[in-house]
Order: sequence, then structure tokens, then C-alpha cells
Amino acid sequence: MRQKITLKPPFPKVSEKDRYLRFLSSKANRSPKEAAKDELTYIRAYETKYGMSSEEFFEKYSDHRVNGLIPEHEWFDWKLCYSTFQKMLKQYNLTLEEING
Amino acid sequence: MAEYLFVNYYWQLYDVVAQHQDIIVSFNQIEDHFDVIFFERIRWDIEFIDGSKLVVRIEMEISEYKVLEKEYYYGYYDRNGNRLFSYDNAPHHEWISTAPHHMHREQITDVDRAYPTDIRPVTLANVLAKIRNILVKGSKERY
Repeated sequence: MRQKITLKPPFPKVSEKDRYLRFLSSKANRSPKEAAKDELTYIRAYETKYGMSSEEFFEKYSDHRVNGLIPEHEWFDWKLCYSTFQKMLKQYNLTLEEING
Repeated sequence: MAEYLFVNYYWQLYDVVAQHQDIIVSFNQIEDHFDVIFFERIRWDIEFIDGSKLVVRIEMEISEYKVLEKEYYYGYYDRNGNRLFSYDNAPHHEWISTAPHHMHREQITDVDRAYPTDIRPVTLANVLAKIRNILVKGSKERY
């Protein structure tokens, strides 16, 4: 599972080389399928919280936020997560069945 | 190639945040590069010395080998979770002179009005500079 990281000042200085190495290790540490599975769990939490599917949320509310229905920052977060998740499925040629299976 | 451009952009923004670490208490994100590599996005929550918080959400795209913020949201909240101001480029306020870029201020009434942005361009660097003015210089400028 992905983890949340909290950095506190002083923030570490990371050299160009280390930035690149971290990029490579991050890629190696998790497959797209695993990343998608993690993401799906995150998106499902929003669906449970607000009692609607992401498809319904996106169709009804992605163009406008209904005041009071979903707090602004969560509206943006859900929208961003769902749209980037869909994009990622296409990019890596993944299906929901594969991820759930 | 694209992946590394996104990662590079992530580190550019990290450097911007690091420049303001004297007013920052904590900087929260998902583990290294998860959002960037797989989802081409940045999701950070930054907490400041007075308990206020900046929520950063960015979807990136590449155009002519440059990373652009296709969609962004910078929301600044006080310690009690009340929005002080936010900036985004969702295309739902076409009548605003700076559309699609616009801002919202403290919501006092039921109507959440949108305004032209008071910083241009809307970037993490400019948003953090505004927050610094408020926190360090005690800017009286209306949010």
C-alpha cells in the first residue's frame, strides 16, 4: 500500500543523481497494476463517504461543484483522482476486472 | 521521457516549497513519485506555522516538451478548516476576466463567488509568496 509521508523542516537536500535514482527505484518498486489497485481503494473511500459512484459524481458534478455537497478540496481531489485513474487505465491498458482480480 | 519530465517538475516544485520552509511545519505527500509516475499529478498538503494549510492538487500534461498544469487547485485554509482563498482553472466561470483561472475568497454567504485572480500567473511559487506575506509581513490585504 502507498504510504503518506510527512516531511518536517529542514527538508532534505536531494542531489540530481539521487532524484533520478529515487525515480528509478519508485518505478521498480510497484507495478502499474498494483498502483491502480491502491488508487481504486482510495477512490472507493470517497464513494462510500458520499454515497455515489465515481462515475455518477463525475457525470453530475465534474463541471461544477454544488455548494455544501462536497467540500471544495475533496471535490477537487476526487475529480483529480478519478480522471487520472481513468487516464492511467488507458495508458497501461488495464481493466477494472484485471485490477480487482 | 514523459515520466521523467513529470518527475523533474515535481522536484522543481519541491525546491519552491523548500525555499519557504521557515514558515512551514509539515509537508505531506504520498510516498516518492507514486502520484507523479503513475498518475501524472501532484497532491500535497502543506501546513504552516500558524496552523493554516495549503492544499495543492495538480494534473500535469506535456506540451512541446514542457510540463504544464492542465488542471490545478491551490486551496488555503485556516487552522479550523475554513477556506481563506483558493485558485483553480476549472472552466466553470467563463465570464471572469482571467478565465479559466479564477479565485474564491472566504465564503461568508451561501453564494460562493468567483473573482479574477489577484496573482498572475497562478503558480505554487506565487501562492506561497502570498501566504508568506500574510504570515510573515502581516499583510492586511484582503484574502
